Amino acid sequence: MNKKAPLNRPQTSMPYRTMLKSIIPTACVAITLISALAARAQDVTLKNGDWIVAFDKKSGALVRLESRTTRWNIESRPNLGVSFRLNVPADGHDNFMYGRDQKAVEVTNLSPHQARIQWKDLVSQNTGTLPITLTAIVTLKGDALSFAATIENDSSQMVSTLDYPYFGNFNPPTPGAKMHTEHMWYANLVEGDIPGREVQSKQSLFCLVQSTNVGLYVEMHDPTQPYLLNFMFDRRGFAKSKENPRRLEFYTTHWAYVHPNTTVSLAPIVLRAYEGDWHAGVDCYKEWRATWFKQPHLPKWIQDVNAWQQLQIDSPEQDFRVAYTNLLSYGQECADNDIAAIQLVGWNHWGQDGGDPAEDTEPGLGTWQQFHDVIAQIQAKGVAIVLFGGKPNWADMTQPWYTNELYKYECTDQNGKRYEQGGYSYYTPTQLAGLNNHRRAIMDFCDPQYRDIATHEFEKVLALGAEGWLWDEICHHADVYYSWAPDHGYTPPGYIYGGDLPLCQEIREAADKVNPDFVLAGEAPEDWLMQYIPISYFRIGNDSRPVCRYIDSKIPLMCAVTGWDDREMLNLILMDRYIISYEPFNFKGYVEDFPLTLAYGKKIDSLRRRYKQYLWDAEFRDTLGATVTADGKVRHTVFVTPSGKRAVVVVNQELDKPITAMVSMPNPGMLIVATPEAPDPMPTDGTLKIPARSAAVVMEQ
Amino acid sequence: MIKKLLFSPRFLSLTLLACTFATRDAFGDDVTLEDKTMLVTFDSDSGAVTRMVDKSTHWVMERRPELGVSFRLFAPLPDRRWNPVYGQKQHAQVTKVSDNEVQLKWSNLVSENGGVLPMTFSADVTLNNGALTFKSTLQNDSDLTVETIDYPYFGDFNPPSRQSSLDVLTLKGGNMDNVQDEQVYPHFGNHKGYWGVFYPTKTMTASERSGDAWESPFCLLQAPDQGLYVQAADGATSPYRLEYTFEQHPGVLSSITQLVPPVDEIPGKDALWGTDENAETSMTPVFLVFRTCHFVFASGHSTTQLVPIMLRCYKGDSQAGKDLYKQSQGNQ
Repeated sequence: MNKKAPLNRPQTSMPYRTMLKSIIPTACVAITLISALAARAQDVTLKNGDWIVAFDKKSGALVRLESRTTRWNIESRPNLGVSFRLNVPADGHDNFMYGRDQKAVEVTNLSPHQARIQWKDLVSQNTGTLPITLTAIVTLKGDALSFAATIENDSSQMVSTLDYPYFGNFNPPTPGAKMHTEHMWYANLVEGDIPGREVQSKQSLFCLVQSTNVGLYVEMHDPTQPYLLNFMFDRRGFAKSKENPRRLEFYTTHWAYVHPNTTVSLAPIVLRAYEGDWHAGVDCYKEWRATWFKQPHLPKWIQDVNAWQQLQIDSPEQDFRVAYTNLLSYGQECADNDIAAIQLVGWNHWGQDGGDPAEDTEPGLGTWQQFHDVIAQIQAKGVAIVLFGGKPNWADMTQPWYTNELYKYECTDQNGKRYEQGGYSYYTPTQLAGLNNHRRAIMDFCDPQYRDIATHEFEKVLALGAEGWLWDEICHHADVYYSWAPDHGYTPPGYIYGGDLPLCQEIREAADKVNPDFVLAGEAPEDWLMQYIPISYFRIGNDSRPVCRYIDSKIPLMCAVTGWDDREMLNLILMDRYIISYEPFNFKGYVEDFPLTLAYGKKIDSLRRRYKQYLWDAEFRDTLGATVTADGKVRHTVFVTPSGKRAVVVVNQELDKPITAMVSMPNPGMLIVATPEAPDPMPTDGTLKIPARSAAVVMEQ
Repeated sequence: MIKKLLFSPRFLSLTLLACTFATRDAFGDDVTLEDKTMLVTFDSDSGAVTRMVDKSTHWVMERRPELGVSFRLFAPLPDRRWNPVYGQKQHAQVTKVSDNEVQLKWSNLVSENGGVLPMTFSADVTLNNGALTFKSTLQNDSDLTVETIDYPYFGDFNPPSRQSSLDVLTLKGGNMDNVQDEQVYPHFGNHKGYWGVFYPTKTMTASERSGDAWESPFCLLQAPDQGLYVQAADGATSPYRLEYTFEQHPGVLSSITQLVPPVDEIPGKDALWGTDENAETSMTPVFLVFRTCHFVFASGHSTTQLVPIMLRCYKGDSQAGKDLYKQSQGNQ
């Protein structure tokens, strides 16, 4: 119904002049659009069932991009097309080479689905023409549109960055539709504004441009982190300007640092359009990931339903709270409560966040032998000790080892100055105010000699006989991306995140020599690192989205539980098939210190053991495949067993109100329901009464 | 097993606590200062504040005597930084000088790892027309540097009722128009790195460092229609860093909701506080700590006057609290 024309009011005829005023602008827009969308003679066009992409023959600029499957005209105004931007800093200042100032020497179809574009002797802003050649190969293959670029730098200057591909007028799927970014970080899917802060490949190999039920998946097609890639959005121009109209630019910045007289092939950028929400975008990543992700070996105990405790026993403030020999009572308590492992923190010399990267024992807690023996005693009870120890990322600058040796392997900036990280605060008002913290130098993982030192330290962990190691802060190197330190075994700058994979690999190899079942865990390692560090430990909030679980239904993901009756967190853990990490007093107590949390957690794990095929061994689908409605705050997730049977975990998030929830699935079979507190199966039609702060699981028979 | 029980830190703490209460009973009366608007009681043995009431509104701010604490200080040793001195483990000399003044003195302080230290911490507490003022002095006759002193220390600070909220309001940059509001009840969000605290903790800065203008010369503990005004400023600039500190024991119910347990006790054990780890079922108290922390860095063989802390109850919203500060400035 046309709400603008009420039926009970007689229509008046539109005056001729008014009608003209209305028609003319519309016609102009339509003509502009038609002429823009029509294939231009001066373009080279690639086309298949999924994409149309066109390049200006003279400039090589991308002048048209359309996703045919989603009917999204991503780039539609040829005059706003851009080819690339390259930076060749001179005298410490940016010196850009804008695509608009270049002339393409070649824009040709290699095939109906592939084009080659080349620019030579590039003109810079400040240093004239330089002998640099940029060659792009654009390929259509199914729904994937890829942009590969090679830089031949025959000049005497370093190329720092290349912005390519470059969309000079990035449109939303429909006029005015909102768009935002999505990317992986810290086991979460993080939403960002457009324009807003850049998305960085050090956190996520893909960036989703998400709009209402349609999106664009943009991938750095190289899982080895050869350099930093930024996904960038910039708002340009002015609303009333014809020459410089208001528009949104989107481009990827390759921080490639191409040395003089070298040729570098950059990581291809792959675009795939999709219909749906972030799940559909992440499905694109899952498909690609399956082609390169090397499944890690996992011992059987971590594959089963299991729970952990995290326990800290000392800090840099030398509290020496739990002597090594006193650890046995913690181990016994874990054994008594079906807790499979203790993540032990602060056992190392100078306690948690002190003494990095050393993996030596702390004399204030006891002797090496005492520690070695108590580890063996606890593990004999069936409780694995996983040592959270010195972190290779840092060197504690208060330590003589740093002063005498480790400084040689630290990252430095372009002026030769050391980067620093501020350290962390523990217990005393002095440290909690940020005074007297152990500041750390940032270590260069690109340096093979330093990686040897780090691996040697790790061997000390192996010698203690523990069953695992947890690498805290594996996820970052403070604010340092590149090091310019000389004599580190490569020509600087070195991309520090690029050293992560080699070091993880070396550590895994060292562990395998001693114990192939030795587990390696990390604090929310980036997805590609999970090939070597497959256990991810992290903290979540109620708005966290379980992207890592959606990508891999079975990889061990562990989540901290700290509240004294933390049903909300435990229900999320049940929903997302996370491992429970019990942490009373922020991981400084006994698990029986918070009996309400422990009791509910044990009920959840008991339920997961009883219905393992549904809640542990099944495929995690997040919210897909079922809908849940309720008369209160409710959340749900869906699991699908290998035989296709579905389970829906429903959580009442009301604090004090029971709810009635209705679970709907297409073509449901016979349904049963069980809860952590009433685990025996009961038949259900999908309508559930769930108490406040509680969960129920509906399972298809 | 018996040995483990007898020598466990928890058992020792519990025993110490029991001894403290026994001693308190044996030594007899508490000491109370009282005027028309306020009442404050000190334990005659430990010197801890055991009760504090706004008489005009019947707001019992400090409620449970067993949770009262006198002070805490840190005196790092040359070879070990962790060396706290807990007021709970000291004996106080408590003298009621007049109806509106009490003097407290703690001598030869027992530290956790450095033995008995030749230090005397003394306080002169006065109550005049609703203004409760804590003036204190550290006489440090040891070779150690005392880094920080927490005083006054309210071990069980309560909102007016379970249904009431309680927020902490402080200024940013000393600007009366730039008020920071942090709730401490019914929600308490931890603001420190969780790795470095046992309990959810918040600190607000009264002054950053010596010689600086006051960041927040006062803080307001604001309930919906009444509050407690806490003034740290005594002069235009601060002689040292000073903080308002809040700790929620033993923690929050849920890390998602950050709700404080709305009960006096919750099932569980708190080793630091002293519940018995060997009890079959035990309860641990739920309480909010409020203290002011003086970063005195008092070197060995020195005497340090601490910034006086003045408290005054008021009715109304935060404007009424801010008006008290304006009045104090007008009176100078």
